[in-house]
Amino acid sequence: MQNYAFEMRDVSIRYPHFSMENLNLSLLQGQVMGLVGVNGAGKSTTIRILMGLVKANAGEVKALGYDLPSQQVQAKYDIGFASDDMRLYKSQTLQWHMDFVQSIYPKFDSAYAKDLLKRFDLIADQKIKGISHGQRVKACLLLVLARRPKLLVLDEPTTGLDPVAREEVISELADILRDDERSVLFSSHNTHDIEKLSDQIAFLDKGKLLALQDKESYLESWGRFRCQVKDTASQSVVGAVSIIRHGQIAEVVTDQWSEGYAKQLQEAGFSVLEQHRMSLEEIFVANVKRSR
Amino acid sequence: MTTTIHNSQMIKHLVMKDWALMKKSIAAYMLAGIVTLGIMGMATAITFNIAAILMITLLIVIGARSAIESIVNEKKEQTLPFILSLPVTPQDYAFAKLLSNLVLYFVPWLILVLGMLVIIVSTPIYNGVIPLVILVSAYILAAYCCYLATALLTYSEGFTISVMIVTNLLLNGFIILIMRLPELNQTFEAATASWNATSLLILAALITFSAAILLLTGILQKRLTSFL
Amino acid sequence: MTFGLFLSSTDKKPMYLQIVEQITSKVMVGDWLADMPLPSIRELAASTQVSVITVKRAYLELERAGVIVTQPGKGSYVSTNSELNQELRKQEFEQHLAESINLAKQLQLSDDDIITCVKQHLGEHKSPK
Repeated sequence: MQNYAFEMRDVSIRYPHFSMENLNLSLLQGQVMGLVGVNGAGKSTTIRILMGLVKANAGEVKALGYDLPSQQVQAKYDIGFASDDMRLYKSQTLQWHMDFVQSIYPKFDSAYAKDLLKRFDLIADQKIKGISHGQRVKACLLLVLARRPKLLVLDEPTTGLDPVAREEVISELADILRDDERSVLFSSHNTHDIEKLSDQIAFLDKGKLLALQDKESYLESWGRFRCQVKDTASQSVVGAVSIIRHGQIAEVVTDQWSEGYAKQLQEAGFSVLEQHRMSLEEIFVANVKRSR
Repeated sequence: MTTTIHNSQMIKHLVMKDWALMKKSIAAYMLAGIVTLGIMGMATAITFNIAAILMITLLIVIGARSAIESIVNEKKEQTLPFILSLPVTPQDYAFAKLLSNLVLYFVPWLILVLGMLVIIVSTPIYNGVIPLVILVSAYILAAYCCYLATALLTYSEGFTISVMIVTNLLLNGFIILIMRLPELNQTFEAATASWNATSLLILAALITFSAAILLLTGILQKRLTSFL
Repeated sequence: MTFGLFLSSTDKKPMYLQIVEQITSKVMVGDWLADMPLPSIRELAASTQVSVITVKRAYLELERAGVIVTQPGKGSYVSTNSELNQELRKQEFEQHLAESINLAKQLQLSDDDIITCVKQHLGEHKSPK
């Protein structure tokens, strides 16, 4: 019987201009889930409901086995949260924040924290007022990582970071993979990071889950075909998400790729010239365009 | 309610956190307060009036700044997600805010009021002035409770400042009122402090009002479910 | 410690396939010897910064190809199959052949054209001695 890192069942929330109905999302312990979606799709809302910062109108939420929001205090001892709109106290130094967090969490590893200071190229005695956006994001992550929480919930952890800072952060996140008792939920516009590190992919759009699947099979179910079309070719093909024609050449995108799909296309009058796997970014755009 | 009490550890941390953030400001205010007391200690009619005005201003400013900074700004400056990611419920957070602001205002207020009383008693200033000083200080405390409540329940800078302005305008009216009341103004010039039914009634009303506002705030805060 | 694996994110090949190919070539050239224990799935995932599920899939494919063997509870090891090398090289040949045929089809060559081309190359192969 495996444990769940978190479970969200039939969660619904209603805002004046946005609503989410019956969201079902869960992650087994020891896995990484990547949350993908356009701005306003509901990623931050989902994360906030999970963290007990926002109360859903209906549904059940559990994190690390604890009911939220009723047991959020116990839960939060083992959950680490960082979001890109999180700010620290400008008048205080990073060291002050580290001491503050250490006084609260018994699991805070100050040796690891010092190590992270070096790796993230941060200065402990610097006031938060004077640090750049990227350094602030890394500082928030440091405060969370140093506690080695069982569940890490990150809202856009690499957004707005320069390539070096991004690599530093990804490197620390990858370290968590070693531990089969630690789990990560992160949302990101860097589909590349999600593609590399996630075990599960959750795709949100307008408050609905467009997809919830393990990464490997999800990526494999999408494919792009460049074909030569005869005039007798049909206008649509089973399983095609989009067909774009320029003269004799057509580009077909499918989300039901299989070994035999090329043959299906041939039978529909599309002579396959090339086929390509799609990156998560390409899938993202194709998937969102389809539902508009 | 019980879970809030159980989380007293975290509430203590949050209160200490607010103290660390406001330490410097409070130290500066206390310094200004000591200077004002010094002026008052010079014991002439003019210096007393100047010191009185300065002290009133100081007591108001301390409250205004801390209410805006530690409450409304916490939402504006987006440090709220950081705090709420700690092992606290939004209710714990709200209660800690109420507590820390109250304590971090009441202690300086008390020190300054006692300071004034000491100065008055130990200098040629008419002791009859004591009830006046206490009543005005109590009014300022009651006014503080009003805009503290506003800040905690609305998190709006606009509403809070409006309440501040209204209560301060009314302060002038209050001072004029008690100075004009015949039962009171005849006691002010006396060498000894004397309380009568009227002044005690006003004092009791102010204290009760402050306590009621705080209690109401505490209760209404419980019903807030999200801040973000 | 990346165990000598260099994964490229700009390579069109899926990550799991890169892992499979790189480990396979290490075994083929003899850098990784028979019976050598492979890094644990999580260890490899963390050091190459790829998801656990990707490494799991790579190990599965490697086992299917006979390159490694997995003992439940003990981990994975490079297989001791003495004909492994031969098998791997044959697989490589068939892969190249499939790619060549694919290319030929894109050029719209007929099956006969392809066979003629192959015979040509076989002929060239015989000459130098």
